[in-house]
Amino acid sequence: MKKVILIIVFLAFSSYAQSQKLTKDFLVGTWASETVQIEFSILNKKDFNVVSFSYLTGNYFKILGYQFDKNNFYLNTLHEPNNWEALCKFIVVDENTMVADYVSDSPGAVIYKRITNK
Amino acid sequence: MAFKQNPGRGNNSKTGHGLPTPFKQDIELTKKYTQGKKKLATQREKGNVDSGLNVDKASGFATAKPYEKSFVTNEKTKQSYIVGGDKKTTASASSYGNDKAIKDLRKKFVSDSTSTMKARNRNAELYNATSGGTSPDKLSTGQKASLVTIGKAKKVK
Repeated sequence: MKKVILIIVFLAFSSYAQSQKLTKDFLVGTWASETVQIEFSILNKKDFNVVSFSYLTGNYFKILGYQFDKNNFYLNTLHEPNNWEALCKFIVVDENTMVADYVSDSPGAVIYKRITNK
Repeated sequence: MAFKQNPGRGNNSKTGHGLPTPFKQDIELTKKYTQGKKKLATQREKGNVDSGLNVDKASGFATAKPYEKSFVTNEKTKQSYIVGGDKKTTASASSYGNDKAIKDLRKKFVSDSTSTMKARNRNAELYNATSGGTSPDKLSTGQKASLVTIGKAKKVK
């Protein structure tokens, strides 16, 4: 019985994750993890803008690049004071939650929550 | 007699008297700092980071890991334990007869947790100061003092 419930929950979650498209419009707003805040916006109705800030160090990240690919969003950042480069792959969990899988010298997954829509 | 107020420092000379020491002197990073920063980058690429530190995935900034041991008392058995992060008991004491054993165990726990966290916080500060996680212009007084002590910076008058 427990397994059946788990399967139903998993199917419901995966179908939602598949139905929720990770687009520029979806990202627009402010997202935050425990240590980082990211603001996505669209300037002049066309230019996608990303601003990322570290709560830990009080520094802004330099955005090296970003890319949308197969319902994932990739963001490449540099923390300039210590030359720390990180590449993260964002995956949608639900409308207000994303998981970022980091590839850096300290790899791992980080949860981001939506703070504001615009 | 009315109170007389002098604007600014009046006729007193500019001695810096009364200013806290950190504001009078600043530091200059040495060659050892630059070399250490490169060495640390190589070490972390290999995954070698102090076990008491959490390194932020996005910025590489280090923070002290929380103290993982806990002090547990079982009221029924009148026993106390120090339990490690792996849930295994590392020390125990019984209060049957007298409470001294329990008090000693608690004293040991408090002493160990205090010294461990003090060391971890100091390591995190030093890691950030030497790795560049903290920008040189944002170094705290403690970080500056540590860098001077280990020869990675020198005081500038």
